[in-house]
Amino acid sequence: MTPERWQRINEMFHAALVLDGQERSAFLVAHSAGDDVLRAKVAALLASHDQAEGFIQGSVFGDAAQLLVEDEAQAMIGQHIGLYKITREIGRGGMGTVYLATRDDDQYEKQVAIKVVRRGMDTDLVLARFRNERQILAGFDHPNIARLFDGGSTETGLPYFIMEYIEGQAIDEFCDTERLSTSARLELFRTVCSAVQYAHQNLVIHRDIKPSNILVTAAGVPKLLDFGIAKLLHAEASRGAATTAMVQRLMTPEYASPEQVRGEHVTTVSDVYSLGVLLYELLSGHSPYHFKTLLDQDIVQVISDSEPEKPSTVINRIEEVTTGGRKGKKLTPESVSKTRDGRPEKLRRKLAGDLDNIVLSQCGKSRPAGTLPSGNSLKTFADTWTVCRLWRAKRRSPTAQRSSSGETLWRSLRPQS
Amino acid sequence: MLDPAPTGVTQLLVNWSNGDKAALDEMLPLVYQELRRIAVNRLRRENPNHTLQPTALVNEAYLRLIDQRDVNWQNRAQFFGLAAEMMRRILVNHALHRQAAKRGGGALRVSLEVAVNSFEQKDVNLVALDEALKNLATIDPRQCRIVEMKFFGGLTVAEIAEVLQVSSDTIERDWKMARAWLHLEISNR
Repeated sequence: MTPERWQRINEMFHAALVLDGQERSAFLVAHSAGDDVLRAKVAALLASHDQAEGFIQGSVFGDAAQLLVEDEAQAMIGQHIGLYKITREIGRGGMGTVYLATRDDDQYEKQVAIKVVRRGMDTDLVLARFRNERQILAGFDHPNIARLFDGGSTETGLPYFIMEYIEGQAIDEFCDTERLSTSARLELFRTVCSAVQYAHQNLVIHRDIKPSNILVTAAGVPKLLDFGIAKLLHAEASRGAATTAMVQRLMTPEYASPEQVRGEHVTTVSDVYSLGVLLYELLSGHSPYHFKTLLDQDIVQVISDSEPEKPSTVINRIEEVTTGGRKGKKLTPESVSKTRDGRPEKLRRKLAGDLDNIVLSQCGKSRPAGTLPSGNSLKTFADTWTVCRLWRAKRRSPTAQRSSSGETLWRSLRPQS
Repeated sequence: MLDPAPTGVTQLLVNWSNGDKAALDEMLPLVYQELRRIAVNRLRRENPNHTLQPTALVNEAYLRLIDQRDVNWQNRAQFFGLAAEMMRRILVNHALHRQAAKRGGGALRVSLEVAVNSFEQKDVNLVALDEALKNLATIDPRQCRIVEMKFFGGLTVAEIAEVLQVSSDTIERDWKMARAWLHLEISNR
């Protein structure tokens, strides 16, 4: 394109921009002097201008600066933290970067995962909190909870945590890869609940339960990661001073309870809620909540007000997973049941009734209020387990009275709140 | 404490503006290091929710690297343009890596999920934008620079006007056209 022609296009574009539809067309015809290519080009640009709302508005400078800063993380490879040498990066997210590190001598853990907290946190504050919680967290001894060994700050002043290195797959992916049946999924979920219960008995809330924080080893053992870490990084969130934006940064909204997204007091019941969302997804493959946008008010509204569809009917939907490790996966009745119990009708029958009720009582609107003392949340767990166990027993024994009905069983176990 | 600024950047900037392409290659890593150091330091000492002010950040790098007695406003404009271009490269490279990583797939996930970068939420395909900008640069280099400084460099219209020494109205007009043109170009791909 010649500079003159470009100049001409610019002039016509700006002159026509202030005109409305009809006037605009007339103007273009009058000023293009029969040059239809010119007229079409300017018209296309004007239309594009009108459609470009939001396009490259704002700036991505912050993202670039963040990448600049994170480049520092790359420089960590080969460095020493304590007695461990960082060998490679194994994950990155909102809170920081996780590295695999090895120890040269013959002391206990040869390989560990080291989480280096991203720049921007107040190192002193994080470490002070860590010292407070250290006894409890380091004392955790449960086969399904990844151990936390130590914490400190790097030479450049970033807080870090040394944790047990778990090689495994996120629980949702594991279940799908292994094509676990509904019963097997419930069994795995029960094990996860026992780990959470153990932590709750020790007065530690996880605050960020989601599939990527629950890895399943090749031997099929689930391991919960990051217990207590969220609180060390964001004590504000537990004092009720968190903004929604802040909660969003530290949590995945899909699994955050209503009280968490509203920045209110977080209790053990919040973990139970996240477990409910997890169970919903493990059983049905679908998410209970869907966000149109990631704007604060939308998230709060969806999580606070909408009631999820029953797992047994949601499996009929055809949709795409929009977040997490399974992002982009197409869900159809056939695809979700194929990795579970065979045909859609069979899966639907398994989910209908008891399981629908259990799941929705944990992550739907009828869930126990977020202010219940922890004893009650544990009771809710126990109930869930009991129902699961009875449900399993019922399935196993063909003579069992299937019609003796989940509904009654469910009512009798439901917490009186 | 900041380390002492590397010397010689002023001369490189002047040489580059006089057409010495090699000077640019020599200067880029120095400016990159400096921007990184300032970004890290600012994020370290300021509160966690602090967002970096682009102009202040680039200006600090400029003041530290460049001896003001030996340069003119064109040199300053070039420096700001350079910083914006650097941000563009960083982001586009990152986007390309992410695309490649997605195609590779199968990476083991650990406790952290790859953060959803906010520019993805802004629904801009950076790789496509970068291609379109390359085309725009051949037609109208100034419009390309304005987009670079505004979108990647985070400068306001007034700041860009000051850097380029033209009126804000001119920047606004160029910006509107560039935006419409890029949007059309990307839609037609």
